[in-house]
Amino acid sequence: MKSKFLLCLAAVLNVSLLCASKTVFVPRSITHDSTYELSLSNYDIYHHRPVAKCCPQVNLYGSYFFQQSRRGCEVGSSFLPCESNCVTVGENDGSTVNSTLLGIVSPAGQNFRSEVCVNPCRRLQGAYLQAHLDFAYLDNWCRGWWLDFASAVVNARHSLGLTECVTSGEGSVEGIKNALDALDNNAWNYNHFTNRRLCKTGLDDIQVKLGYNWYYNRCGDHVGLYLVGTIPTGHRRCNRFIFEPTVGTRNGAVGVGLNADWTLWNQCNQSFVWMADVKYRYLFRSCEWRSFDLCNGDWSRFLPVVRQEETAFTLPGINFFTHKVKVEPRGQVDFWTAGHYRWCNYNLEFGYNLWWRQSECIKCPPTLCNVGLFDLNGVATLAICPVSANCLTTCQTTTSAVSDSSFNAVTSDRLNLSSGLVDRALTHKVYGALGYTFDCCNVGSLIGIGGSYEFAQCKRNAFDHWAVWAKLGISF
Amino acid sequence: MNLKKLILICIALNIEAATVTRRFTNGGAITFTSVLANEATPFPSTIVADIPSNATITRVSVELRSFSATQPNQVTVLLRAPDPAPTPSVLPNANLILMNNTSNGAAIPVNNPITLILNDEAPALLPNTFSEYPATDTTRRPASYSAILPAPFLGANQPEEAGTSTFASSFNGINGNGTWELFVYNNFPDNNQGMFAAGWVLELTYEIPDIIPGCSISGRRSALFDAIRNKFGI
Repeated sequence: MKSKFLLCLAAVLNVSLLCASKTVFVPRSITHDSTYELSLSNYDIYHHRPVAKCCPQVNLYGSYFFQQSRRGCEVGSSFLPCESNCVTVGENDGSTVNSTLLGIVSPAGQNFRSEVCVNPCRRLQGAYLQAHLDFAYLDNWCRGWWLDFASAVVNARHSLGLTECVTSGEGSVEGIKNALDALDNNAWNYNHFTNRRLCKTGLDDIQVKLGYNWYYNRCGDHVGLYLVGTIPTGHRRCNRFIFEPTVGTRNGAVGVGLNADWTLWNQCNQSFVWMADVKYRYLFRSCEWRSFDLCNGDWSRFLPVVRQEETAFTLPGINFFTHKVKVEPRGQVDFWTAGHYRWCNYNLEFGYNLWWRQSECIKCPPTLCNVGLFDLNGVATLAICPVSANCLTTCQTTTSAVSDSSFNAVTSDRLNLSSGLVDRALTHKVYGALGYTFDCCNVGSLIGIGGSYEFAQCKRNAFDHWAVWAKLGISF
Repeated sequence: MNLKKLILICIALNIEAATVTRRFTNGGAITFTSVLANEATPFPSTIVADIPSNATITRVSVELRSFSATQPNQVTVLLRAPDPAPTPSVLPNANLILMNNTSNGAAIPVNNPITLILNDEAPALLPNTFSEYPATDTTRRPASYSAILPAPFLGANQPEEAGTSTFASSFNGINGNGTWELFVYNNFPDNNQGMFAAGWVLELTYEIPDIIPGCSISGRRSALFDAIRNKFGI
């Protein structure tokens, strides 16, 4: 009994310490991206304005953007076992994943073996919309206050870039000939690995800012504090696919920020302004469907499970290890700074944006149904009466799996909660933008284009992205 | 637990047993072409039978493929199981002489070899000293026509006519999971050369307790469950 326990512990520790795959990926929100929000327009709001007037100044901006991820292998490795974007799936040959546990069982005399790789890619395009109302020039109680709304209509396209190279064998179970069939089979309700391109179009979360500039001069230099809130617009994440696109969230948020700029150099038709914006927001919890591995290691959520009364009737574990849970994304920090050079009506801007996200936490861990892990060894070798196999891992061969002496249901404390939560992320973004401003009929106008590259510091949790955009704006 | 006891318990509990037949092949040639050595190469030739550890052998059949010899009567073949014999035996494991001192007739040429299928159900024994092997493949019962055995095989179970042992009496009741060995011995290497050019096949029929009253196997089975059991010959 003792040795069995140690064997189990060793198997579990070996897997859980070396590997840590994720069941979910949450990208950075477009609305919360300071680059789209502030590039060119922040300067335009404060430095390109008509003469004093008695009504609030209104600035409207619209941007078309396109961004695409790079180096998808790094994010892909977070979905597969052992921190690699490729995994070997084989039948009792010491592969990373025992294909039998995915339902791939070749006929006697054959042994299935293949290599599965993922290379996720994320493409986004859409329109970023922003409205800014500034009461700076008014001579009443609301002087110095401003209000800002921003959101985006986003079309997100995700492809997992799933490929498989089968080197031998073929599954005999109907509908599951290879790993691609197994990972996208209809019996699974969640976490499909699919080769299909998944699209989602919708309105991203709405950001509202209410600010007060306590310092303001006629050059446009200012220092202001603001409150920021997020109105969620998304649907509940259903987690049907491993890398499903989402637009908008169900997480409301509040936070504070500071926005400032300073004219460093100003001549008759030239100027150079330094600008900065920093904000912290706290995102509130919401209910989402999340899948969790067990402490038995990566991909243990895919292990077949059985009910005590029918230990020969296997069911997909993923259907039992996916639950609606309250997920709290917690804090995010966004720091933006840029230098803006103006020559006559031409504008050149270079900037930097840092984005940091805290790791998610979960409230109220789920309660599991009364199921146990499939007694693989019991079925394959003893052939008398399978029970359960509490220590089963995906990389074990059929005969090395240890059968339980009596039925053991999987309990909630065996869920590896971190597998279904997003880790903290940090990205650095640099951008350059070119703009042209002009006035027409007392309406200030802006035309600009820009490009950026975002470097993810922990590449398993965030993509590298390149992006281009074109911005139009008017102020009156 | 002793396998025989397990079987008896299963019968007492009205356990239904599943019967499975599987063939295991070693296609490597077994040659006895040396004029110096009595032992063929390899000696022994082996087959690993991966059958369930609770299985019980109920029938054994052996196929000796592409047999050729200049003097067939000089070839002695012994099959040895991985388990101890069901009854006390001189040799450590269950065994049976498959052929010894058979036909003293014409040679079986290398360019026209024959395949011998040996089992207990065949109507006739291997040809005796005064008859010849047929020119085509044939199914026979094991036979030994001399009480004298080569030194390595002393004490082995002898089939008719030198003894009374059969596949059933030698192997039925054992588990059979593990390495089976086929020993080929050339009694007269100076004058006899030949080979089993295509190796040999071991066909095992065994029973395993399957459906136990009250056990969940008797309930619904998933396709995965059945596929695994088929894969492992259960």
